Amino acid sequence: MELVLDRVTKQYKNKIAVDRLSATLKAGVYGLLGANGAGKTTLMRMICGIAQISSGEIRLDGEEIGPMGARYRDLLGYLPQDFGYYPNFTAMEFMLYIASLKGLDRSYAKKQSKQLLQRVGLANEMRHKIKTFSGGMRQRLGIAQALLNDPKILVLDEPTAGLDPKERVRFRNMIAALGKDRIVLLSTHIVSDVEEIADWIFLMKQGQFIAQGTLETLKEHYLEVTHEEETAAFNLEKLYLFYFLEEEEDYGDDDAV
Amino acid sequence: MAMMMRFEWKKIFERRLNVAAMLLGYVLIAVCVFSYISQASFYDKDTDSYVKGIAGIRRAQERDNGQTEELTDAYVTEVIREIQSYGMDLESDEAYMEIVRPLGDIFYFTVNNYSDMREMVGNRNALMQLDLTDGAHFYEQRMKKITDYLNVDFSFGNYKEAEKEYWLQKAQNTTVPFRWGGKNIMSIVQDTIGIGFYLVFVIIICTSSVFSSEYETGAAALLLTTRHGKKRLVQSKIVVTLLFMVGYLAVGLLSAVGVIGLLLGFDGASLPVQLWNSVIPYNMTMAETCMATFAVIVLISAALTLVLLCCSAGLRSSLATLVIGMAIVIAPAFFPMSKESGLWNHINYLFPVRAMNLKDVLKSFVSYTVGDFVISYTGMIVLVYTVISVAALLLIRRGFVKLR
Repeated sequence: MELVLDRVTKQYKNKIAVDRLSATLKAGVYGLLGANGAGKTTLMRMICGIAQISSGEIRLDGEEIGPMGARYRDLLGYLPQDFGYYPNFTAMEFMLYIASLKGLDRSYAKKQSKQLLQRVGLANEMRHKIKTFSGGMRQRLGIAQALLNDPKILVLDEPTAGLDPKERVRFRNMIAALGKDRIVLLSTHIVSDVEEIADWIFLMKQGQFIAQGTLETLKEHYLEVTHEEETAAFNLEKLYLFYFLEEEEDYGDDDAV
Repeated sequence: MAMMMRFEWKKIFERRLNVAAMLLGYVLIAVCVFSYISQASFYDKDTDSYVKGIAGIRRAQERDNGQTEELTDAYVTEVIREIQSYGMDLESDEAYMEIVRPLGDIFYFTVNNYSDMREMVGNRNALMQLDLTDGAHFYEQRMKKITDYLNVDFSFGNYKEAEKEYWLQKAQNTTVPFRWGGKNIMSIVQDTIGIGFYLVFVIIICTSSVFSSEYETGAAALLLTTRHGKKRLVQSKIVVTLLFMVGYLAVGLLSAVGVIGLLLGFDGASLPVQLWNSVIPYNMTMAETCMATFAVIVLISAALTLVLLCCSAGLRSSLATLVIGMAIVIAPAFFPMSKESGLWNHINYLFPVRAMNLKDVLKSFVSYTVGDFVISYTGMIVLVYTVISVAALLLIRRGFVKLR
């Protein structure tokens, strides 16, 4: 399976949110790193088919995703950033609702929902209303729903937001395992998340990929742009701060458009 | 789809504002029905006192049922002759106590038939001047009244010949003589069904958030990436909202009618609708009129629901949709009838506030023409609201799934 971004652009009147991005994604975990307003969410929404592409194309195995319609959505699992849960639904009801939208058979949906809730540590809370959940529990529920249809393309927008350090580690492991046989694209501000699990990292700024590669190639890139001597102390945070320090100091806008 | 619909149903009923509005709507029905029954009264000449509530309604029914079975010309002549024999000013208090109060509905009904159609309150004393040598000519007078109205020189435009012919034909086809009897119970039933207009506000409140709340909470981003998020979800939301609308109206109004039936029965259901107004040119019974009123309320509510779903999906704002819904229902109540523009008046008649009042619609002689083809007011209501429903239905999905 190959997902190709071909000069994908998103323009809102005078503002270019995503600027001619090209990439080829195959099975593996892809980390999208950037400050607020970099265009991460917009790019993810275009990949999920819920934001119109101004120009360029996104193709799955050579076929443009728009005309694929439901066939493409069948392959998709999406966790949006800050999306509204239905507060009076129980975790199980929410899972069954999303399962019905994903076209899953009722008995399979029940079985799958139970398994996934167990996997994200919500087995004991499946009959509890979502309004009683903490932010981290809601995020875990969000991840569980994204996996309901066993998606071949998993798009996770800030999946570790709201999780405590222990949960984050658990999720990193889960995401890493999921990336073995599917495309997993995750965006985050948390450098260590992608550093640990991403096979390929995109650094995004002002709608463009300013750097991309494996951790190893990004290290080389860092040494090249900073003219530093090679040391064993390199980590992705250094590169991130090199590019985003200014923005991090005075960021304002959220990048969700 | 059944599972999806079940959860859409749950969403409607778990919103506190919706539940509060629904309960308030039902409380309104209960208060209105209680007031219709408790305020009814019957004057008992023997005891010189008023019998109120259920007993009063029953006594009035007995009186009216006992007057005559058929409103023949001979019977009406007798009634008017009796009235004339008192030689009183029929607007006086004395006449009210001696003549009007004991006769009850038949007095008002007779006065109304001999009054001009444009008069809100008939001239009672016109009965005193009637020449009864050849009888009261009750049904000829009815036709004359309609003919006179159709030939009035209206400042906003006159009836076309095709319209006159249409209405006169309809009026002539009405079965006469009218059957007579007590119409009090069926009037209460009709007024109760008319409360449906106020329940529309509840439907607006519950409908306004159906699609927009998915955008307001951010859930739309997730829903639209699922297999059925762009089609079946939209279909299930539409079906559930329409079912809710019909169910809410049916449960509220039909339960209220059921309670009235249990308390009073449905005596008078088969009487002709003309007993509400002799000029009505439709061959319908009161029961049929009540059912038709319910059907019209449901039709208009369905159109309104679909328009609001369209706004909810397109505007993606519950508040904006709510404001639009309220405006559609409330604002036209303040639109005056024009003295110059017949076109404006004909549009004005079609707003929900007027179109839902079938009792007034039936007696209004409003018609629409395309060349020589005449469409009655009721026909136009059905046509317009069906077209609106279909148009809105086609636009809802586009509004919800449109990428921005």
